[in-house]
Amino acid sequence: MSLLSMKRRQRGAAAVSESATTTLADLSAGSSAWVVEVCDEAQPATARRLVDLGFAPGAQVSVVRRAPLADPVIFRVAGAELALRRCQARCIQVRVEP
Amino acid sequence: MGVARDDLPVADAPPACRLVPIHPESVAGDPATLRWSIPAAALGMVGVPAVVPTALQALLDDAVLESLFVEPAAVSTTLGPGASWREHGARVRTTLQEALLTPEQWRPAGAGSTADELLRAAVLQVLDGEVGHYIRSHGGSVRLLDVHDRDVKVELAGACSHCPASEITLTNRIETGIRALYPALGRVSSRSQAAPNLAHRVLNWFPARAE
Amino acid sequence: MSTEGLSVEGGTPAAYDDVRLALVGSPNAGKTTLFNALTGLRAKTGNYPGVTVSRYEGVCEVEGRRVVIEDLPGSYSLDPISPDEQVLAQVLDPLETAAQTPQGLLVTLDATTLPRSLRMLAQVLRTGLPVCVVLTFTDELARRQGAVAESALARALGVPVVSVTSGRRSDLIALKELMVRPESWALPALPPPDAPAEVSSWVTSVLSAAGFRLPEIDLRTRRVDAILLHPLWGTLVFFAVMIAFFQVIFTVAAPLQGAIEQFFGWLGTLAGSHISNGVVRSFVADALLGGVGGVLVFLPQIVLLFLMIALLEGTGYMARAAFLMDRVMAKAGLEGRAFVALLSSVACAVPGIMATRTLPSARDRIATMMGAPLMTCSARLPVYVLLIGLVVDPDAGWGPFSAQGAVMFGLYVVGAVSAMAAAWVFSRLGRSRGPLLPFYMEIPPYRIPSARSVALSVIDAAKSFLRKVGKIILGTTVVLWILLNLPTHSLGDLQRAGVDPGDEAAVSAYVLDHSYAASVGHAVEPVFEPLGFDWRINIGVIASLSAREVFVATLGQVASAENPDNPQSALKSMTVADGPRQGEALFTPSVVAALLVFFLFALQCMSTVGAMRRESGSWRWPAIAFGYMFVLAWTMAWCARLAVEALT
Repeated sequence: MSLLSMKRRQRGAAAVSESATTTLADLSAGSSAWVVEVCDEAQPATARRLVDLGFAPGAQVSVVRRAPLADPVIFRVAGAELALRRCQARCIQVRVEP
Repeated sequence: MGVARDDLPVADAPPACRLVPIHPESVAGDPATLRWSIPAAALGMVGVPAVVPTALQALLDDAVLESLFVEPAAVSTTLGPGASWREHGARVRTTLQEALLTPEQWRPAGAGSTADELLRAAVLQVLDGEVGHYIRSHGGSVRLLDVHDRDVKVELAGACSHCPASEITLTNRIETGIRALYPALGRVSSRSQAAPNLAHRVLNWFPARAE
Repeated sequence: MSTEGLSVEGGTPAAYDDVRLALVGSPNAGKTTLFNALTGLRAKTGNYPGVTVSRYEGVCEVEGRRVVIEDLPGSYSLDPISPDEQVLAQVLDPLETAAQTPQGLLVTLDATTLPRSLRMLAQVLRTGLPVCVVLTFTDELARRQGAVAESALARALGVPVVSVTSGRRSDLIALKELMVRPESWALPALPPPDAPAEVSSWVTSVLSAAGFRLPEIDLRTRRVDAILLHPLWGTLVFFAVMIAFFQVIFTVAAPLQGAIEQFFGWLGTLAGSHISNGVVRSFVADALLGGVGGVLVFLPQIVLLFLMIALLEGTGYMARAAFLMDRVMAKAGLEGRAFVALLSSVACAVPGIMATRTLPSARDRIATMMGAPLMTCSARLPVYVLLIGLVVDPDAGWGPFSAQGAVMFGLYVVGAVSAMAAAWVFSRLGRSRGPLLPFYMEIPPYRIPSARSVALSVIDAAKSFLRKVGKIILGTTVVLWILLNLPTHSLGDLQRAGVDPGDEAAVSAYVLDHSYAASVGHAVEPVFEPLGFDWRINIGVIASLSAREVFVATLGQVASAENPDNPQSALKSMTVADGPRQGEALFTPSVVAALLVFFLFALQCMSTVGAMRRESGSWRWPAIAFGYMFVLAWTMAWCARLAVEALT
């Protein structure tokens, strides 16, 4: 319920700046971006967990480094460094520099 | 003091998904009142609001809330008789959160919307608060002399006014306190009530930090 | 009880009931360190009923009152998506009757990652249970130029906040004083919100009120990571670390294990020289002392393994190793951390299965456990050496590669591949029973692990092994001894059968041939007949349940060879005693191939079964593992026999 209302809010935001949004998986190492939303493709439980981990709308995320085989990727978010697989990173919509 | 850094969530978020950061704190001895911390000067008014956004007004009309009071960086909400935080807290939060997105719809009953009035409220809160308490507990006193065009003049008296170092420290503390509540603050100058001494002259050489 | 409770008012504090608290926090937030500091060695470990989630409970005495502390599984959220988190949600739900709800919660928050940990705290505060926040790593926060004001944070949260820096005693005293009175802890006037956007607003506002300044990036960690996570150097270091890791459990443990075996052998001989009755002597020496020795022989490996795991985890390298290996392990449906468990299984499946504790997801733990016993463990080596020696010419080969070595290598590869395949299948099966757990792993800054935590984790592993697994191993040893040595035979029986009572090898062969195990061996003949095993091989297979290498010695006894530990020559000349193949050689290449394949796949090791029982918390998974591996082993052995027969 609450998640839905949150998403409704952000869909509006995403529409405003469609061109600037991309997914976390497409960022290159060293760059940073702002989370817009955790997309619908993710299961609700997964989406909620990613938000709980700090990938909440509005949070700043930077790409720390990739594993030698390009997957997973370490991100810095909410003061911590977290490794996510690319398939999960793809679920997180971000905006590069506001 | 409490300035959010740019890598904190929300601070630099795209506008549409940004809610105003708020959290409630209980008020000692008054369980019916919650004091919500809001960003400094987020509302552009202080005192009792005469006009508030419709949804918030509905809470007052339904007697869920009895009264509202706006401080430089807080809104106090007092429950109506029969209402409880357990039952109505979530609704009050959501409504307040929405209402803070439209600060232009808040208007004070009387005075309390000019820049000088906002600054004066901030200064009084600081002098009433921790810094003022600290000065009084050391046998001193502090008084607001004047607020004008973002600048503040205070008067320090008593034990601390003899020591130049402590006067500078105190003035800086007062300034930091006020700036947290009123970010547009210009400069704070202090005057010692005791006979003019070195401190006064030193202070004139070092005008308080300006932006 | 109730009268005692009433007498408290009179001022006699001796009759207080225990205070029950639970520790909640995200992984890496110093939760376990705090638990160890508070409860020390008095922690009890077990499992939550029906799930693969370890339960830790300890007691801390404050002002003459017992405070029982439960260390709940670490989690980043109270929204349960894994069994571990289900346990957490159940314990924190006052309406849930299956678990005892604690009187208060100690929530550890890592001060360096407050923006994230406050989101979890918001959920915890919403349970309505009294909460006391324990702020950890404040020293690291200060070192990295971050800041937080404890008292302002307490005011903003509406609950007590204590900062505890690891190893500082005065911090603990302040915390302990609070711990005895959870009923006196302040409660927030209004619990935090639930909607993610409102939570973000609450977190930002609380942080701002507490004067929180995010710490600088830990440069030391970044510099070390530049090497340890480098595509080339990082990979090289990883393999070096893993080789060292493997060498230690394989090589360093070996002499220690040898010493333990020797010691118990010596004890057995010593006991034997004082007992005249042959059967009792054999029971004491072989079953009892042999069983205890058989338990203790695992200790060096377990202690060394957990010492290294504790060091790797404590420093933060384990997360990096898992990060490097994740892509490879993902192919088996597992995550990077499972690599360590599978690698340890090459030495022995018992420590390997115990190492699955480090996996955060219960599903991965089960999948890894199901695959781990297929890795070629050191106990299979003597069996392989014996069997390969029976059919492969030691001189055959291609250049520097001997045929024997090639077969051995092939067995290792098949073992590893099938272990990964089994793990893949089980993680797939697990996936159908619930949502896919997203993979995420915190990469903590490098830290120096506390000696106390390392020591406690080693002691805990050793203790739980001895207590739970030890019983099972000892029991199996005694049962197998009874099967293999009873019933007893009188001197007359032996003479009637034409056995010289003075010839020990002949006597033991006779006893074995007429033991209960032999009856079982005959009884199961129809099962193993398609594989070409006769009842004597069956005895060996049954005996090897205590440990695979026992197969070698048992076959020796069956063959009544002069030297039961090297029965190769006698076995080569053995023939089938009865049935249609009577008179033909027993160990034909096809039968040996079937035996090799059988040992490769079958769970012929009750110690492994015991370890699985301990780590999974029920007999369900060991039963499944034993069942599926037996069916797999039988089928593959049958195929191997047919294939070799077709080729020769």
